[in-house]
Amino acid sequence: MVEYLYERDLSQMKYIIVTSPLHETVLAELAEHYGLGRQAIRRKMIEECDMSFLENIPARYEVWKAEDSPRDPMERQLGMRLLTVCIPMLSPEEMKAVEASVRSQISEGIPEAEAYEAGMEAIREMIRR
Amino acid sequence: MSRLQDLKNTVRSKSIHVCYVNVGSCNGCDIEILACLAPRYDIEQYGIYVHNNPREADVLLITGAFSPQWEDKLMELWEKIPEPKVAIAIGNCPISGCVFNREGSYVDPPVRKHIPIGAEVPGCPPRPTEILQAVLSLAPVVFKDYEGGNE
Amino acid sequence: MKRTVDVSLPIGPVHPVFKEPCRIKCETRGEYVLNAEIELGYVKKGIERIMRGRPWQEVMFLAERVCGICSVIHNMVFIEGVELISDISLTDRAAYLRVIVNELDRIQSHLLANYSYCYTIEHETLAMYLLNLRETAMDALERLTGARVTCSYIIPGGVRFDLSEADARWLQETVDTIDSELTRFVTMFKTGSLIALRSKEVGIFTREEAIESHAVGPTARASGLTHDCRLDHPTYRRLDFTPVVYTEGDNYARIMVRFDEVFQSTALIRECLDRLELGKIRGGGEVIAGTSRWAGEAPRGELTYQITTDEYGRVMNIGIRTPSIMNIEACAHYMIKGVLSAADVTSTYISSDPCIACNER
Repeated sequence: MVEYLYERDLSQMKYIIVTSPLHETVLAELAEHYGLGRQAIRRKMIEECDMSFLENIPARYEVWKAEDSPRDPMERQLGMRLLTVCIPMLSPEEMKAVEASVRSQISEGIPEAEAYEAGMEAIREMIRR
Repeated sequence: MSRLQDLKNTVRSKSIHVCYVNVGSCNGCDIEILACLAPRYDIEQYGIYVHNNPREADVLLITGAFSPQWEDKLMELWEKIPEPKVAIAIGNCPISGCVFNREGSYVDPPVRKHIPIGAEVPGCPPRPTEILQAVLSLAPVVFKDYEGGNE
Repeated sequence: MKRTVDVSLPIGPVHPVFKEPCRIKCETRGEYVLNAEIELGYVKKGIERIMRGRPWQEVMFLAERVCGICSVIHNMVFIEGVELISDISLTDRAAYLRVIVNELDRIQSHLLANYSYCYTIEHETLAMYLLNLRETAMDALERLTGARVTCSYIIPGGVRFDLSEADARWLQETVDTIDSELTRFVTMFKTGSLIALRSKEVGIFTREEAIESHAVGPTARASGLTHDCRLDHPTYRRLDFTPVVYTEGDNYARIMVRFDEVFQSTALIRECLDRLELGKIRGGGEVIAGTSRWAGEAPRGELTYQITTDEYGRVMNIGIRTPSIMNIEACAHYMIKGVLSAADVTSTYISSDPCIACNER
């Protein structure tokens, strides 16, 4: 039986980090965009990122906003780079699957808004999980 | 008092190993401890050697107002230091919490609640010379006749 | 994804080379570092929380105690943010005095950072030289502001103390001493073969990675980014100044950027002293309600304060983004990853000049 030395549950400390004023602003924007509760996004962040990363989330979010890619409507809507590179809450594979399904839906002639909504639903599902 | 004890006292007062630990300070006191290392103050001429290893330390310098992550770790650290040992609180933070001891903050001062403290050096931050003086005046008193006290 | 990890190597929280407690958890294969993670929370004080609802007079001192190493810039950015809200103007003399004190603070911080690096790569001689030179800068800071570390020199509408004629002359001499001494030490650093072995091409940080992680300050400028908040500052724009940029992105470049910035700071101080004309050092003003976002260049990079005040001059909401937040993250996830030996982990970490107290507030 392996007993881990010196490891303790850090979720309380991590939660303190993601409730700072600057994080609140970012979380408010993310929560509104994806139609999710802040707590759900926080939980996913705490699970996926280490502490230095959590601290850096507001800066990284700004980088994404300043980038050229958000001008691409799909990136702006789904935030593929945002959720995999800038704030890695989802793995690239998961995101690719969502992106592919949305693209195929659009090419099949489904209206863009509907296809994006389906993509968003998939992302919501993954974040809640 | 045996001659051996006299010898031990002399040696101990001329060889003090220091470990410093920051339990939630703003860094101000830490850099003043670092400044003691500078040739200007030349801490080593008094036989004080700073290296951050608790296993070799005689004196533990504590800065900061005790943040929650240290709850279990500071006591562990204190127990790692071999006897005879003494802890000195540097700055206002470990003494009272200084400006951080307000409603809503995460800190839990004073540090003397958590481990025994031998001396306190107030100041925000104290000058390097004050830190130096505290170590120099406390260490010989605490370490004198250590074996004698045990009997 | 499954990976072969030989050893999980934790470094810290109390470690001989760390000035502050933090824990680096490295996944290694042999000596090669696959991945690193930083565990913080050892100095979390919740400063932003206690600042809320307090008058600016109190928040000013709290802001300074976010970080003890670069306390002047925290003071400066907070006060400038408050001035921006309340539209308080500044006399020329006070503006230049602020720059002088800020640059002295930058000198001592950079010298301390380079001291730590030299100490970490076990070049103690050079380290001690630098630490001794730092005391000279600290003396200047003390003579100007009255305190070594937390000096709260800058107040809305001006500064606290004036600079006398004799002090100005003395400061000029001090700056010359720093310049001439440091030239010697930089030559030592450049020609030392041990230093080159331990620093060149270690901890590579590319330009793209710097943009992605929003790295700032010397860490970013060593990777070819020209971003420097001093370019947007009204007083600095009047001075002759171009950012120091290196493109290598390794430990050596990061240290050299800091050395060059010390020379730049001394030049800026000289220029300010030349331009300093007699006049008032304090204007009047009243802090009113409003919101502002103001950034300044701390020794470690861009420092942003987002302040909301109410009509009584109380700070209702405040968000602080310190440079170390970005730089430590960049260090952990880009520089340390791929380092060839465990000994380089600590030196790479120190080369990004991490300040945990800033990071956690």
